[in-house]
Amino acid sequence: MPATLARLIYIACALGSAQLAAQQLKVTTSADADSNAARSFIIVPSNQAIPHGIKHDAPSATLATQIPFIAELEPVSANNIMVQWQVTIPSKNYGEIEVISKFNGNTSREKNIIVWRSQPLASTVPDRHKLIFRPAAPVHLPVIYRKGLGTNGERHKYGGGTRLTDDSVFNPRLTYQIHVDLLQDARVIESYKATISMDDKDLIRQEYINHYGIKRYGFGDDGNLPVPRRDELTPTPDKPANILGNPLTESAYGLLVNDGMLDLVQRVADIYTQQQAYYRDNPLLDLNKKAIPVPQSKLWLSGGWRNPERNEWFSNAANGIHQRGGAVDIIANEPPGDANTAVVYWMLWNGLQQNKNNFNAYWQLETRGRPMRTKEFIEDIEPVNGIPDAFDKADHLHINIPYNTTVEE
Amino acid sequence: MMNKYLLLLFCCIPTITWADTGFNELFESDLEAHNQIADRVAAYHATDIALDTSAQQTELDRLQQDIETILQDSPNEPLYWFISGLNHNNLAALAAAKNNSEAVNQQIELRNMAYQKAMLLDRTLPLRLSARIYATMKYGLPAADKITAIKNEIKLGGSGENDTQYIQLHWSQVNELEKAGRHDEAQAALREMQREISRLDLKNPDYQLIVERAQNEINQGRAADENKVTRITVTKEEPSTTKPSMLYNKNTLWIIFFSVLALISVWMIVRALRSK
Repeated sequence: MPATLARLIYIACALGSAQLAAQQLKVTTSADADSNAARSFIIVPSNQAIPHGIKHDAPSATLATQIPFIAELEPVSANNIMVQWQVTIPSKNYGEIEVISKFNGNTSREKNIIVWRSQPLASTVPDRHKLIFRPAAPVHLPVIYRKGLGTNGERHKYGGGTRLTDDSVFNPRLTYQIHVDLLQDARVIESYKATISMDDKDLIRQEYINHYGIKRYGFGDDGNLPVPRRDELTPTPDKPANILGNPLTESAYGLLVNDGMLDLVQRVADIYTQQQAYYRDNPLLDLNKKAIPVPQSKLWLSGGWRNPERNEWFSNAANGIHQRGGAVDIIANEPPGDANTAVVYWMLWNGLQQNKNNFNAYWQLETRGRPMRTKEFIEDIEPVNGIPDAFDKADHLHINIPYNTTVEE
Repeated sequence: MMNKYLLLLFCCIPTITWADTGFNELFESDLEAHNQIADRVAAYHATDIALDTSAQQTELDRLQQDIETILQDSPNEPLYWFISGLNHNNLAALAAAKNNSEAVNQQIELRNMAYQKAMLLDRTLPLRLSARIYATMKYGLPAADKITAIKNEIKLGGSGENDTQYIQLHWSQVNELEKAGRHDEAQAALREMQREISRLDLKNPDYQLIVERAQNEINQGRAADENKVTRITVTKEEPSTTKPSMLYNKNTLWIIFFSVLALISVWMIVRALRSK
């Protein structure tokens, strides 16, 4: 076996560091050092300057420009060794690649798989030890949030988005298999391969990229949210013990952006617990001056962080603040429309108002996708029961940390 | 003079304030006509209108007249009946702001009638009114209509922002049926809720707490009703020891008297006719 046959080299990427096992190629995937170190990547459109860093105190930055993928072998100097590259794309939904290296190659399709293969490359071909190619940018469809049933007629309001991860249409986990053969006398004498695939963090970040600039149906702001940095995506923490309901995210990723959500939930739950204790000793009176029993149930955490695809499924706010990780929705753990529910919201609201000088957050009561009017905190017509309509009709309390930009829920 | 200026101001208002509202957006319904009227009604419903009460009254009355005209042309369109009800609700809110409780009650009654009409016209599938509309209508309606609105909202998949709100919608159906004493239907609604929890694969054990609470409410309701029935069947009247006399019954005497009078009258008439 020729001495010059490549001994496999370890990754010494200029932009990151990772130790790889032998029999693999040196692969550079991304301008993002952390993505590259994880052999993951995001695909950034070349014509957009997208902000990078989503938390409220993130320093101002822009996503790095997309760089092509580079797969590199230690140069093979033997004249009688040919090099042949191959890239396999496991789903036609990903789109084809653009090969930047000056090699001749052919593309074939078999069922759902696309394969690009170079000609066997002689030693006279310049830079044959290096394959450079650019991935096709995912196309997010539809280009606007739109109303309607889901793609299978399932129950939800809008025609876009998914609650899944790695959905082939909405948020595919783009993967490329790079394969290189060393040929002698038309026989393969050595093969090396590498698989590069988006990890969960980059899958989420790609959702933000894909939704940047998405048009909102009707009036309102389009989706122009910054893309989270990798270190802003963290494992989902447990919610506080004195609140029931959902975790801080219902997303299937197991990761989230937590821009103060946990503290918000804790604080709200504590305030409500204090209110329950107070009104047990100092009961509210109904229209007949009878004491109203204080509901004993805990509050329910209804919504926290939403990844963009999930937000598109459930919400009509393309730039919705739940995608920023600094907002939560809390509901009464009572049947909607019941008098107990109104009492819960009344106690919660008054508790928050009493604490507003030492609680740096913004909150509003909402019903059916809109905040209450000011006068609904005074009116008592639907129904007439001594409780202002804002509390009868509320279906959740929304609360978020202050952001400088105008965002919707 | 002042009215002229108000009118002028009013005419200018649409170009400023109508742009931002959205009936379609708020109620997830695409109107094919009369969008401006619907948008304005929706704006009163959902936003703080920056007009004094007199100007609001004028505008709301005018809107109601426009809606009545539309309904004369299209009496079978449930969406227009909903808009009518919504505007009556706006009028009720304005009356409440003026402390006119009589007017509030009147407008609430008109609102409920309009909403009932809307639901009556929307009984065949696929439903034409949206979940958001049903979610809006149900507040303040009498129990039976509220239950119908909730059922339809469920059929349409609810209008909440996550699965929790959808399950809570089911819970509200159980609760309202139970409060109305419809225990069997409440039990069926609870089973439906459990099926949905399972279908959506909601593994959070806190959902079972809701199921247990709802079941306890149904059990307590049934037990309370059974107690009421038992109390009624135990109460018996003491049997009478004397038989009432037919002859000396007051009503019977009057019947006999008038019967005799009638016979005498007939005899006199016949006699008079014969003598002629």
